[in-house]
Amino acid sequence: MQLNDRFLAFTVDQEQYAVALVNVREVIGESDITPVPFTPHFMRGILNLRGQVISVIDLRARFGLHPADSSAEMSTLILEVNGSLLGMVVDSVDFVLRMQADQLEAPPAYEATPLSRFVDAVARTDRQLIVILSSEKLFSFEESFVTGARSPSAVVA
Amino acid sequence: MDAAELRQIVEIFIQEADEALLQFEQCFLDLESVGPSDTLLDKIFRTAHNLKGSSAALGFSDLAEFTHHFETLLLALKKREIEVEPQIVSLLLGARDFINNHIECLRAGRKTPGKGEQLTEAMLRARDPKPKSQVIELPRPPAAGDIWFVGEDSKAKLFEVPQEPARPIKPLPALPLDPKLAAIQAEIERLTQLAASVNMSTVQAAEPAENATAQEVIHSSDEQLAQPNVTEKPELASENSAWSLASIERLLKSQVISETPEFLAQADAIHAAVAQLNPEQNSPRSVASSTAFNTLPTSALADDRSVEHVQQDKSSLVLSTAADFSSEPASTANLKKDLAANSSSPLASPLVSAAGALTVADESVKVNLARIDKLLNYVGELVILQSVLDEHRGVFSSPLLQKSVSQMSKIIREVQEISMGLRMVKLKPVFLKLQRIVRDTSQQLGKEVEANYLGDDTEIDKTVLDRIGDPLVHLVRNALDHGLETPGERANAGKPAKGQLTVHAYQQSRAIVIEVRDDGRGLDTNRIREKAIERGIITAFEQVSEERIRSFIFHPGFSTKSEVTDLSGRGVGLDVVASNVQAMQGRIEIESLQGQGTTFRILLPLTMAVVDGFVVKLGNERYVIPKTQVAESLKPHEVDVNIVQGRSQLLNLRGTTVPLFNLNQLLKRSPSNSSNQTNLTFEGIALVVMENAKQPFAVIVDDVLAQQQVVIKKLGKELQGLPGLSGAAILGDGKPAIILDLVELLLAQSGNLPSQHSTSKTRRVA
Repeated sequence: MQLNDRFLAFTVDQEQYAVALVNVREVIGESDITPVPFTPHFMRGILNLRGQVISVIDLRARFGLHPADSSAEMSTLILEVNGSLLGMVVDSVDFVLRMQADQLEAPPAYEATPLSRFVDAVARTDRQLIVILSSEKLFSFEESFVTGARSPSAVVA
Repeated sequence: MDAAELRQIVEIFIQEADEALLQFEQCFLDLESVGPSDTLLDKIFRTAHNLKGSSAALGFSDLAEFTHHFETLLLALKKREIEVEPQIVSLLLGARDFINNHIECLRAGRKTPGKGEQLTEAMLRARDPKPKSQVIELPRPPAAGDIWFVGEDSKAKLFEVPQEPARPIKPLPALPLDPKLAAIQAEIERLTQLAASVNMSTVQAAEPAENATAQEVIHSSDEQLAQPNVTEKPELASENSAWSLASIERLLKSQVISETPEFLAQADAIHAAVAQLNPEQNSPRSVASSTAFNTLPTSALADDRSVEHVQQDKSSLVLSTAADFSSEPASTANLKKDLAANSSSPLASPLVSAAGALTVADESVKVNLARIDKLLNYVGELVILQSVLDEHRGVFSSPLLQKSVSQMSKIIREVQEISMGLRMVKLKPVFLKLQRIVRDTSQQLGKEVEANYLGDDTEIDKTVLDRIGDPLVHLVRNALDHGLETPGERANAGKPAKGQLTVHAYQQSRAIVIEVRDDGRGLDTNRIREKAIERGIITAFEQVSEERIRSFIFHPGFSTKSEVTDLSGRGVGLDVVASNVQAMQGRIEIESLQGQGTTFRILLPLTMAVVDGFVVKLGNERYVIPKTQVAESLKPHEVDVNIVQGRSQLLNLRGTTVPLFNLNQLLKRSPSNSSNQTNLTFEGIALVVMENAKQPFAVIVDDVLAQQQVVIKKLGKELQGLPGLSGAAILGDGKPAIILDLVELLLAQSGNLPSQHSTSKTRRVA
């Protein structure tokens, strides 16, 4: 498994996760997100990033948790995945994590939670385990977006 | 050279070939319509020759071989050994298509279609029947390793009709595998040509070339190379070719080439040739023409008037300047120096430069569309920020600040206008395609047509240009096939045998109009009406306007082959035309007088980047609905609405009923406000959608907030293909809103648009 050695750690529902820093374009505070019809519940909507329209997912909903209360203070991570910019809403952005290869472990054979399919590795630090998520997997949507006739199987690739 | 660089060179070659192919098509059609002229034939020949050179240089041997035969045929034409006849033009067009196919394969990285033996055979045959004189044929198609020069013998012999074919001085050392060297070789060949052509013009025109523009100069031919039978003023011609050779020599000695020992040897050979040709001339006159390597020393470029193409980073920014001989050499040189400094791929330029010199006469910059879109993005953002500033202008106490803001507004508006214009391109390529279609189709149908094309320099959004071709081809075919009568029928109707077909593009206020007009039989509205009743589109008792009846021909599958009347076939594919045009936010009008002709008029928005829309409110959200889709907006009253079976509703619109939908439901949103759908009171506003032949319908929204122009933004890949969502727009407060396509939305929901037929049924139920 090839992983970059720096990661951005963030919190979702009191758990700590991280994504490879190389994918992170920027972090923005709360922003106006417009919902998009026909999309699954984890698709939070679109936002305007300096004139560019970017799709944003809600990580809580992606993990099968309750979507965050819209009044709660949130951050949006803007990631670059396969050349596209995509956003994801997290509870808070915490710190940058530097890990050596030997500190990364293959993900444990999770019981099939909605989360497990997004996991790339697990990082073991002195105090805790941090789940390293794959940006690509987070933004691969096998779920059909539309309940209508022309449902695309949208995969960001 | 790595693979990326090679790919880049191939891309430039493809670009160059595209230009050549466009030119071929235009020229071949002109051959037939305007008639062959020396200038035209020269132009064609030169273009073919360049294409051959570059394809050989890049090692596309199949293409090189094919273009060689192509060129030889053109040469025969040029020498008037064979006449320009329709079948020759067809053959030329066929060959052009083959090359086009080849280039398309290269572009797509597919397997190329081989050598085109059949066409080659046909081209050889075409030259054969009238062997007025010996065609000078190169012994074999030039491969990358060859340089072709014409006779290094004495000048007296050189310009007589030769007894033996032109032959290579000596093939270069076997280097074809190194693209860098191959490119230089191609360049030398081109230089020779270019220099020769400039000199030829001096021979032919009494005036020296000093004041002629590059374009004019190069219009003259390079006959010496391929066909050394110039008999006029042999001394002068000899002198001229001496210059050209001298210029090559000079170039060869420039630093790029001097690094390569093989080329030094070659340079010596050329030097010897120059000496032989030109023993009395010590210092060659200043060389008017030389095509530049980027890496040439600036001094060598000082009097160079050729075109400089620079490949900058990844983006394909190609800068071209074509200066006159008389233009300030210093500034040109400086510019070139700057460009050369930025250049990441020096070899990229020679491959395009010659083609550029031949075709580009005006100063222009080719910019990647993605860059323009990025610019437009930021400009759009600027406009939004500016409107925010404008709104809060009252807050500023300082008059200076106020003045600055209002001044800035003006400038930003200007900038927006200019940047929108960047996406605009001329319609010409599409018109060329039409000319070809008209020619081929009318021949097929045995109809005589006089076709006129007006306004091919009308500018249109690049995206529209890419998508308007097919609908226009459809309309033109349709006009030829079904609009125009056969010569016999026309004679009976007292019309001239030749049918008239006019394609006319022009700008009308904020729209681009493209008309396809024929003077044929016109639409028979009675027949269409009958057919519409037969198909259940309207009822027999319904009063329908003529206009609406005509629009029925856009109904999918409206006319079938079983119809044997004069309107047979009309409508085949016309539904595709209609939907294509609608997809571009445009519309089609039809004008027709029976017996006198039909005009299809396509009206398109000036740009695809902006749409005029209604901003509507739905709960807490806003959506944009293009104005082109909305015929009217109204506040329905209780009495206007009938509820049918709880779900579908009908709106009584001045006597006609149209189905009424709730946008909330169409978007599968949970109703966000209290407007109770089973209740007959309506808080909202109904937007009536009426598009061409499609059945009108209405949707209910909470409110219409504004009518404004918005910049269309693409949705991300992950959101594309969602039915009815055609993009996003950023509204005045910086928040994005979805742009809806109501027709598509409804289609996706119901599988079909409600037809009047079913509507009338439900009405009876009610």
